[in-house]
Amino acid sequence: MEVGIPPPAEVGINPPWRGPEVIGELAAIAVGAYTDIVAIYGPAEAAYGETVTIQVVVKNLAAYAIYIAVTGSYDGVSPTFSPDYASVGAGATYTFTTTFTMPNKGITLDVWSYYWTGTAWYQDDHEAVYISLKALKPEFQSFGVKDYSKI
Amino acid sequence: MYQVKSIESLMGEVGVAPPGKLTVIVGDKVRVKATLSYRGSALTDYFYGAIGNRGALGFDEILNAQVAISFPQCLNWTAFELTVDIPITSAISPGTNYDLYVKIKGHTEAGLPEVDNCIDVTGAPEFQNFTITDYSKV
Repeated sequence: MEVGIPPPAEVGINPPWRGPEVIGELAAIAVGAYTDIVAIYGPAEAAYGETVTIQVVVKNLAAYAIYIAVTGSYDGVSPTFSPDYASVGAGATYTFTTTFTMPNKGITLDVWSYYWTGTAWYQDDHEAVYISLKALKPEFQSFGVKDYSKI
Repeated sequence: MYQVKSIESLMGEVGVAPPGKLTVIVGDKVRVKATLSYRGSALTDYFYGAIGNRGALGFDEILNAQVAISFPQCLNWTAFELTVDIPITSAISPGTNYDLYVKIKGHTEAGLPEVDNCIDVTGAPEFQNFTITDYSKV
């Protein structure tokens, strides 16, 4: 079994810089669909400056446990998901979470799932969601005259 | 030694807080300050102030002024202070107990804060007790 640090990937979709310590049964797997992004939870819209929390649920399609990682990208920004990776049992799902600050426009968030081949992270599944920019309704309170003076 | 007192010092306090009373003459400006809290998207509007008379049918505006204002986007309640200067012109007659109100022009749902009987307008400048108190060689 060979374990190493994966090579750098494209900017914006870099998988975790480090691989798992133990790879288990994935050594023989080079390519293939072993992960499935089954859900992305987050707001459909968010206001500029608002903290957006995204949860990505990934299912292990393999018949054995594999290491899975998730990356994302929007508008040239690559939010970091937590945890870096996880060991996921056969048929099980795991939820990865990230937060970022909503920019002043709607965004398309691309999400990729990876599995560890034993030597590198393999980019497997991809999904995208659109988060629109929410316009906040103006609200006022405590409006009152403070003072007035002659000038 | 001669000492010249300002009109303001002769008239007393120049600025007052509600519900205090302000005495002005034509040519003055009344600077009105208001505070409010805002939450929402970035917004541009006008802060509007008027002096007149509160009546049974509403506020009879005699003098008014407005200034452009802009709020940045505020995710949370944020306090702001707004200022508008209302010129006192001859459009208003000398009198007492004028009323004052302000508003966010395009968002009257913010409220229409009003202070009643807060402004007296005196007529043209008047003098009295004008006399020579002494004369000397300088």
